[in-house]
Amino acid sequence: MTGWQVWILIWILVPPIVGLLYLRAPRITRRGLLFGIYVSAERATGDEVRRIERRYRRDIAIMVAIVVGVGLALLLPLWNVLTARWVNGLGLGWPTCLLLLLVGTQLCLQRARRMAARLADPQPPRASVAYLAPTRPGLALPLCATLVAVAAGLLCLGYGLWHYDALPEQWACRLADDGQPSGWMRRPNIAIVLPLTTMLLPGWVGAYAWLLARAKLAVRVDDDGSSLRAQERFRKAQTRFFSGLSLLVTAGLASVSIMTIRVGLHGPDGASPEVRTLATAMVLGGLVLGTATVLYLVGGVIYISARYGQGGAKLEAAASHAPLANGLADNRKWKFGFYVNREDPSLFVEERFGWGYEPNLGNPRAAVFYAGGLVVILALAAMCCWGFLM
Amino acid sequence: MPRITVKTDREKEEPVYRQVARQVREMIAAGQLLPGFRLPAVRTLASDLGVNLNTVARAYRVLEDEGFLRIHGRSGAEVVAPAQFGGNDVPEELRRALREVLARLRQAGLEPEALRGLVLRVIDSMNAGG
Repeated sequence: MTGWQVWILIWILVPPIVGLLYLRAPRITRRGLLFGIYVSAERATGDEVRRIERRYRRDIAIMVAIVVGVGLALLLPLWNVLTARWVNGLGLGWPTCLLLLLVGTQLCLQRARRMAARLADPQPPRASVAYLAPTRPGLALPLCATLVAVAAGLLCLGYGLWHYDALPEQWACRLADDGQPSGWMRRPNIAIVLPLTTMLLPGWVGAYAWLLARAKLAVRVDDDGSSLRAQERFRKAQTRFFSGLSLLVTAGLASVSIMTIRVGLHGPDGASPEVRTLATAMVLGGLVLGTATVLYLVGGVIYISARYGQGGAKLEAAASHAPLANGLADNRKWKFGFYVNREDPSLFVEERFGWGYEPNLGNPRAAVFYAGGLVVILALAAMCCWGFLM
Repeated sequence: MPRITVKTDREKEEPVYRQVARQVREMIAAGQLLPGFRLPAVRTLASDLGVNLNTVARAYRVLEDEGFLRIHGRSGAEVVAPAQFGGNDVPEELRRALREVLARLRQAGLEPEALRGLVLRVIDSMNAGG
């Protein structure tokens, strides 16, 4: 299967998968929350709630059908009937579908949220509850993942700089069927930008896993400890998941970085048999690791949400009639789906709708952490463009 | 590890820091928190309760001043073993506090025998962990 064909497959499969995740989201939410609005456990069932959920599911299904339809409409002209082959050109097809998907899911969610807001509990929660000795996830695994990412990135950077002068300005990264190069890599990108990406991107994910282990607990008032146990298990699963993701991404990026430099050291045109072997191994290795990472990411999200529910919702079912305490239950502190509470020193709080945790934007440290991640991505993108321009 | 909670109610007149200090004090007196038990760091407890850092810090300082805790900087606080003294060595400050409470109860209408019974019941409930 060529890279182009893989893109087509992704193009067709992503909207239904994303649609399924959005359809499942209300089922895994903690009782008392409705599309990110706290309506209290008593009002969480009832005809009005069911009507809102039905409307939401219908909206998501329609949106996914539209995206798939647009995708097919943009894709079909690329099929050459005479030669029974795909014309090699993605065009604007997949970015259009991706944008449509992102905007569409948010519109459906915001519509459901506006309807749910009519049922919002107007009273802020009176009670706050904290456990004096909860079990926190161990920090060894996320710390290890972060350190491995940094070490791998430094190793790749050192390797690239060591061989920098011996590398050509650019070298072939892809060969067409006739054996001629059909794609190129530039020296600054491979020797510098890619190793930095290896260090910073999975390093940030590892740091995120480390901070998650200390995220705010959102327990219920006067339950028998069910919500605490559920929270502990959910956080442990999340910390392990993101640590594993960091390690996988590190392995993928580091191996591509080193192998690409090895290919480059054999010359710019990639004609020799050794280079072909190396390049094939690199592509295969990249495909395997890349596929494994995607499967791990999608599979992990689905597994954790199916087994635990968001925030351990499925594990606290017996005590889910007890009210949620502060944080999640205080509608005043949530603006357009974001938690903003300057008095709360928490860095991360549970998502009220969706999966995982989100930052407390009222805490400058959380905002800095996320801004730092954004700066890293923008800087890497800028350096990549610089590498192409040099 | 004991699953012990601290609960605060924002609508009570009692300030939040006093609610935290009171509950921790009562748990220590009842033997639910033994000497050497490490309370969470100020930031952690404040985060879980959703209150300002200074609120929890103040509660810890009050308990340290009263001899219940020893604060270990950022890493939290530790429950301190009770001081060992006989009935005649009780500090004057504590005697004064006891006299004040008893005076208020007398003024509320409790006769001496009822007062004695009440004090014994409270001691029993503390010993029972309630």
